[in-house]
Amino acid sequence: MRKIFLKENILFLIIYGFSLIFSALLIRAIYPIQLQLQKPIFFDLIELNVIIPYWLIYFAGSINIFLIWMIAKRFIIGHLALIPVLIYCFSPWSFYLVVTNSFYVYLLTFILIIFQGILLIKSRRFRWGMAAFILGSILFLYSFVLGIFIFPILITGLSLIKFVSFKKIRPALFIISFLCLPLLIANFKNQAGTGNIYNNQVALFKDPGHMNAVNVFQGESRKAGYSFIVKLGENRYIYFSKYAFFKAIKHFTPSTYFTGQEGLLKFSFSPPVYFGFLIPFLYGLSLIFKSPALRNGLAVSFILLVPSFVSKTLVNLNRLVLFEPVIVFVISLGMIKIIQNRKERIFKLMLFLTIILVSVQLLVTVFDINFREYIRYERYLGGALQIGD
Amino acid sequence: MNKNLKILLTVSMLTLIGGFLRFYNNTQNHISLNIDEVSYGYSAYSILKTARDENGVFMPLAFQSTGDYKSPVLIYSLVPSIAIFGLNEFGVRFTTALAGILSIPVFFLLLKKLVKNINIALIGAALLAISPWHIFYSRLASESLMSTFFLMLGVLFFLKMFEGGKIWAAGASIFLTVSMYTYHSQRLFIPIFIFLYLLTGFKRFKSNISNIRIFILGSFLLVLPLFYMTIFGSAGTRIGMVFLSQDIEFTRYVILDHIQRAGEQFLLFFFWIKRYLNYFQPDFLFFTGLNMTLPGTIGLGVLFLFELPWLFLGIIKLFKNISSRLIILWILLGIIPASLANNDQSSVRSLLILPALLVIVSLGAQRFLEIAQSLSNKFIKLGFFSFYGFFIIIILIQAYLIFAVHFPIQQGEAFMEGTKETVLYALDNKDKYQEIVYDPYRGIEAPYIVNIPHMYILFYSKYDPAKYQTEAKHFGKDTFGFDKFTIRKIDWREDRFKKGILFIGSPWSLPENDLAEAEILKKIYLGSGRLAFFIVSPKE
Repeated sequence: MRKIFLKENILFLIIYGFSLIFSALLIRAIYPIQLQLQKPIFFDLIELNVIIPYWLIYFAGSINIFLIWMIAKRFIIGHLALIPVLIYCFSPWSFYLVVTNSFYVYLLTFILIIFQGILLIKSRRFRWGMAAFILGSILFLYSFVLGIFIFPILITGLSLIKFVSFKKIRPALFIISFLCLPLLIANFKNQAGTGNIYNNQVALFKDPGHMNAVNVFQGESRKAGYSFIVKLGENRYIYFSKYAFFKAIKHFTPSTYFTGQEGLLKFSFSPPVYFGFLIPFLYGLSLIFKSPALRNGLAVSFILLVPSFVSKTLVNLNRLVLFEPVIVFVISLGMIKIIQNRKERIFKLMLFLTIILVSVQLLVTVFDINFREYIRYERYLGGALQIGD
Repeated sequence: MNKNLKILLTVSMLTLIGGFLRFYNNTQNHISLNIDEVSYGYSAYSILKTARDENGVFMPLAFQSTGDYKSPVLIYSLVPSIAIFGLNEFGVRFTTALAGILSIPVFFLLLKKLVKNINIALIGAALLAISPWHIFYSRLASESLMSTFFLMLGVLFFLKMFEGGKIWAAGASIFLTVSMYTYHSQRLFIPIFIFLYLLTGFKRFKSNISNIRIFILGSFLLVLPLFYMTIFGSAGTRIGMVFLSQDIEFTRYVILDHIQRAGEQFLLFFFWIKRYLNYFQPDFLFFTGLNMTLPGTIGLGVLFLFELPWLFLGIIKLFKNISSRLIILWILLGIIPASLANNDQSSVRSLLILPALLVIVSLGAQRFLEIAQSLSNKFIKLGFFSFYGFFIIIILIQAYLIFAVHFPIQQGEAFMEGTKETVLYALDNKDKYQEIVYDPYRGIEAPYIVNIPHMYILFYSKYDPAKYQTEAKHFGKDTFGFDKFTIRKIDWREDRFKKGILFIGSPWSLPENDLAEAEILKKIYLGSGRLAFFIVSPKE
């Protein structure tokens, strides 16, 4: 009983309480949007519209906070393990998606369960670990058509960098393969449906504007008498490769995550993560580059960028929320080191700036949501919010 | 051959290549003189003929021009060029192109001073010679490019100043101040940049305190008139006009046209941060930064895509090998003025960071070559060089096609294409009409571009500045006129009955369906084939 009332747990509950208040504020501010979004979620396997009740998304959102804490406790000792939770709870990104019942919040839950399962297996709580790993993997694979590509690459990557021993998870992988047989059969029997779902998810080059651009460029150059070099310099493969490359590096740009550059739900001015956290993020990144193990881990996590990368828009913050825990952990790493070295002048300054900037932006965001967010939504999207993608 | 002679020949060769890329066909591409260029040109012509600007102000330090209070240096530097070549496209663009060419050896010297490595300095000079960002602004009359040239020269003298010699201190103060007089971004950037650079390295500079004193005193005296003008005079007007708080995205979509008056200053701060970080976006740097093609297409960034790995390697090398303070401050502070202005990712306002960026890219390019040359397997090395060489060639082909073909077609309207033809027609036929009415609004998709045609009329007619300064002009509500010319919106429902008047306007003000065939005297098309103007005169 005394364990429950540990200071750490109470702090967690306070932070969690804050996240509830933030959600409540968002719901109040953009309440009509929520009603408009009572759309069914398309369930990939059986091709049926499945109505998911709202309580479930709040449950998934809360579970994510809890799982981040659990995972953090495996890496970070003491109260500092609450830092990732704090950063996650202080960032508007996932809260916007929870309030609008985003499918990717559920997917994030499944990915965190998989990861927690692997950590439990590593820590020799084998049965619990196996159960979590299998449950998370099955839910992920059945829910998300791209899971069939992402999951094996993720697991192979983690075993290649020796984060988890392939031998240890082999039995679980057999079970997962066996349990996925119905999924494969359903996909095989309904190839047209599977194709449609796949095409909806993978829309990297679907924008007809790109092909138009290629044709315009080629037409103008040919007319000007450059027929030969057009084939070399302005063919569609080169144009599309450039576009894909552009899209890819856009995912590695700080302003995507730390400013309202892309716009949460396409209309909000709230940044996904507060700008002040850029300071510990950059410091955390520099620490990661110095450690081969962390560097490899970061490289493997890039597979979580794929859903956003293959979307139609340049960056899809809805899909990119799968990558949010990685951003949170990089910030946390930097933040923890800054706190630990806070006696040095430079770290003191970094900590001061981070706290000031985050606090101010938090207050500004809360007031701004309260005053303007719904009007902004109407002005940007005219009431036609498409959250499904 | 003597090593120094070799270096001299190489730099001369690079300067010649740079010169060719900046001068070749520069009167035709950019496709037309833009509003600023004709304004610079006519103001310089007016100074040449009367020592006063077109508004009759004697040798001004801020040119009122079209109401935007232009900086003086470019206009005064155009006077000799216009005296020699005349008031035409070449005369207006010559000075900037010359500054663009001279920037190449100056950058070589600056880089040599910074990194103390001839090879890196040569790479840097080569990269500047072919830089799309630098070429783009060298081919039109640009205050920003001129100012960046003086900035490079100023920084070179400033760094030399610490080696001793009062001449360097005096030169640094002159060139840096001239740079501030040339373009608005530098007015904010240079004082902060120099102050922070001196502050952060004060201990090292203690031994040169006498030179620093000369530099500070010289700069202070030279900058006083500019300071006075900015704070108390007309130059400050421009700050209010272009400040971030006037940004359309901010007013319309962030603070929602002041629907709720709360926390706007804080929102403006975070909006500024967003704008600031936008300058580090890949689209600006490598894909669309120069806005030379249609929106939504991948065109040219301010750097070539093949420079991307060099930029990364350069950043790593910068922190490891040389004193990085100057370059880091140059880039981080250099973006501030551009990010405080009311448009997104302005390549002209941020041009001043180009030298600093190219320092990093040059460092990275040299490191890249070292890595490539260290490959032990001959075939891998050959394959690597072949692949990267092919990649560079492809990117250069694309850049050439964008400059030579797509830019004139796709962005003609942004450079007021067609205005010259309309004005020349009006001037040729001026005597046939009692009045010539020119609608200032144009645009293919909508009439959202304001043309300022009177400046084109003054420019292409070489209108006598003395006459223009003194003659009576007619002002009315949304109307301006001089001589036979009236600049106002055309309302064809009423104007169609006015005989003996020549009307020039876009199809938005002169709808084709309402025009009789006999009334249409000329149609002006853009390079894209789209109709831009009608020249008409009502008939019986």
